[in-house]
Amino acid sequence: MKLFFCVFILAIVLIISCTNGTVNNTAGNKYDEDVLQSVIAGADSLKTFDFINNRIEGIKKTLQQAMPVLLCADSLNAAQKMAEQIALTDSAFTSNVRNTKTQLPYRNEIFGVYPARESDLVNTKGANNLADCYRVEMYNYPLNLTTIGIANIKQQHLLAVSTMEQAQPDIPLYLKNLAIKIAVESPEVQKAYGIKPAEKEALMASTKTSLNRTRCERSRHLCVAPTFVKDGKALWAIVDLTDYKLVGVRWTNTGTTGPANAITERKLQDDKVTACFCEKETALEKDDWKMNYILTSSDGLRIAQVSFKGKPVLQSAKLVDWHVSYSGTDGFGYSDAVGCPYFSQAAVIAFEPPKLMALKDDNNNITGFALEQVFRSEQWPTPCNYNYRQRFEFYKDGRFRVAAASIGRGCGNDGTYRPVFRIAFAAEQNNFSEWDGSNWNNWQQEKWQLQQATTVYTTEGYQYKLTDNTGAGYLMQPGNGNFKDGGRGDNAFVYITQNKSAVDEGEADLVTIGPCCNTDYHQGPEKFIEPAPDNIQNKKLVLWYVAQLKNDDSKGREYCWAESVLENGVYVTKAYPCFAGPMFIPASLTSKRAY
Amino acid sequence: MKKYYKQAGVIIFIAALFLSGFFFFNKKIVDSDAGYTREKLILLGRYLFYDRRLSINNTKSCATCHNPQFAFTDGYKRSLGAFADLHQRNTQPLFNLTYLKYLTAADSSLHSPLQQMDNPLFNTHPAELGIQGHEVEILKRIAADSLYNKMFAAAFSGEAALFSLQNIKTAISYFVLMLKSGNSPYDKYKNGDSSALTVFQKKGMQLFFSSQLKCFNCHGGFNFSAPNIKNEKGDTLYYFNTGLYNINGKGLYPLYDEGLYQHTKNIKDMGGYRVATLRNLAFTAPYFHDGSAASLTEVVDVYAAGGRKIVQGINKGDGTANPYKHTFLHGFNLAADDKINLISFLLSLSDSSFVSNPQYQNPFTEDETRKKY
Repeated sequence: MKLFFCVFILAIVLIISCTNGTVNNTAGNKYDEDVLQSVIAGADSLKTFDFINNRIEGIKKTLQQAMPVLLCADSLNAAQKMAEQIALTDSAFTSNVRNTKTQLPYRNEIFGVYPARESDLVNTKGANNLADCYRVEMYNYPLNLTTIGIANIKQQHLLAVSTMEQAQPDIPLYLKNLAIKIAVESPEVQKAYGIKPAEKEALMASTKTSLNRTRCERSRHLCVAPTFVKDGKALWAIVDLTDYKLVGVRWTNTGTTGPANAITERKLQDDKVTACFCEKETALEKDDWKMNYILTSSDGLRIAQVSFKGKPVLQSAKLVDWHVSYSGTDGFGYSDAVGCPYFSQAAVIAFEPPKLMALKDDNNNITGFALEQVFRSEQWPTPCNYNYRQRFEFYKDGRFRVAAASIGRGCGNDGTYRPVFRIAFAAEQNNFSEWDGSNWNNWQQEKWQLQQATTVYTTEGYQYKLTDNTGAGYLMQPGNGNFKDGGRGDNAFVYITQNKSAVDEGEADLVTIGPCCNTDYHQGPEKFIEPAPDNIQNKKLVLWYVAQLKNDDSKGREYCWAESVLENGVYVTKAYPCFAGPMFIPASLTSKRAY
Repeated sequence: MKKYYKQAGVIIFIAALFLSGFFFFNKKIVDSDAGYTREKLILLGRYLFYDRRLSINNTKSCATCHNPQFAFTDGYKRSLGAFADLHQRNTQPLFNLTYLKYLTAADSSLHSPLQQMDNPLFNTHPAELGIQGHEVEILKRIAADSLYNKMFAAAFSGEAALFSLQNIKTAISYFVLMLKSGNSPYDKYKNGDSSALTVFQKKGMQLFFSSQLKCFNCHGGFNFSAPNIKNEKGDTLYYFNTGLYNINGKGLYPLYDEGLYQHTKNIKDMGGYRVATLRNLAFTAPYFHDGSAASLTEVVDVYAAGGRKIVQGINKGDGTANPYKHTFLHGFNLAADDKINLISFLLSLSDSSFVSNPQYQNPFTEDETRKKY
């Protein structure tokens, strides 16, 4: 009996060990069929397309390699390829290539290798020649995680590595084209569109999207939406690039107000301009203000080392993302990035060099200056093309404002634009407080708050105060229809986080940090607060500001909108910008002021 | 003594009869077929309400425009149909429907969800769910789902034709009629929790019910949607022109939506709309019948001015001078602080437990349009 029992147990153990699903591949690495299937889950549904089959086979082969990372499929020069290889030999960069417990491979892919800029080197040590440095971006599909490495090809090592959860880098050209192909070949798209759309008709195919009740919900999978415009409507083909399949089609109404014709201007690709504003920082000194500025890869125009009358004011300020939502219910739209065309695949690119403009009061007196950058799609203002304006205002009395506007026209006439600003203050020991109607209440920990119709302001319109123990610092006035720029109020989420020297929480160029279409505070900055908010007493602080702007094409109420109108026999573009962003007023200025 | 026994016996007999009857009837009510069926109908209605297979192209369900997250509205100014055609109106919220005399913003002939539902299902200008002409195809989709076979059989037991549009509408009606909202901070305050409202909200409440503003005259009752204004004949009025438009100074509203006038063709009804509920305003922006006010601040400003002035564009005109505007709406003065207090009170009518009620959420755990049969 005992012998029978031992044989029985032995048999069970053997059966279990034979069916645990692991196999040894030729390279000697173990991988699990289930894991392999899960990382390319759903691909079966489109196996009729050869181009998908080839891709899946390529992934399977890569996962069996010692370094299971798909290389960048876009054409890279020798230096970029070297940077890619340097990154892949770095243990920190490849720390998420495999599951740490099982050593089973995750599907990772190098999405881009771009020349580095000074903003990429903020967390590096030692002297580095920019020309030798490259920024390598890798995406981990199952973990929805981005790893960025800064490689010095001359020194043959990585200078810095950062990882960001729930964040996705810019889509490489190869994947953009694959998404378009999936869209046009999908029967659902052809049926909805009436005919098979041409690949060249696809717009916004490299901009990340989401769609509720699918795997694309809240951007958990890497998804894009090639969009096709027809008869005043836009057909969105929402493509899951994790699973390589179409997850849904949706329509938006692009509005009927006036024909919209493209302005055929040459976009910013002139080598000289790129070299001047994308590759290196430009110093600016004016009206007692000093700063450096640069066009980033995907964080818009970034200002840094900002001082007024010799006193440091800002470490940096930039425009991280534009979240554009076309349906709170279906949860689809775009997570747009604005940047320099040469350094990223950002969909909306700098179209001309940054401009300096004089700021004037009602009496036409010059009160300061503005630094402004225009980003736009080539075919703006036709539907599904975008135009964003980023503006920094600096006043002679020490006030400054960080602002941006959408000028439409976008893919719908009932969308919500959410620009994500990051403003890092220079002061080492700050405190943050809010006005409650009678007192300034100090915030103890990292926190967020929404500006609402019921928000109370001081009589001057201030909502927050950011000062040190001596009372020096700034009062903050949010957009509330009070800046005479057509803005109707920002309805903004404000987040305060600690600016940590040991951890990069967005000081270097950030990839897209939030999904397009969340209607609540989950816009991206919260990931630097949750789950354990840090103390912010007497700390260096970062203020994140996410305005919420609803566009409108109603006649007489246009907002975040643009159209072409016939004037004197020719089409001219009428633009209706929706400017948003907070003003900062030195605490030393106590007088009431009209803006 | 014998007499007493006899009397006691009669009393005991009557009491026993009464009690047995009481228990019998109560059992009947609790376990009745009607009650049992009602629950089945509500559950079936909930599934159908969220089912995008009820639209011609599998993209829209009732819940697309009536999303619980937004108190059963959708956040659009004017909603989009299955092919992104613009609906004439802002989506109305769905809750406490039994408190409403009329079921749409400007159609005095619709008194029940069963009647109203024909609009989203069969409208063609614009198509909403776009069923018109595709009824058989839609019914086949529903009938092909094994889950629905069980649910329809349970909800409509004994009926020969289970899968009919009438049965679909009936089930959805049961679901929407049970959507109840009444647990806002204001409700808690009314139920004795004096701390449920802030100081600002209490000040706003005083303003709301004050003789200065008289908001309660139109926004009365439990649902803050029951007007108490009568015409010269003494009949209660339900539709009001609030002076949002006055195109060309002739009292006109935009052609795409002229309010009750579109239904009655009586020019006095131009721009007449049902009084909207003030419950759950925190979730139902944008406001007004066409979503033309993005914020409550805008709404209060319009009422304070006695109408809306539009200074440019095709809808240009001074709404305050609209000849069909009700005389009750003549504006008021409100200090900036009081405006915030009033809005604070209005927001205190929002019931967050309603929008997150699990019984009202999407029951599908997977994409129903991709179900394989």
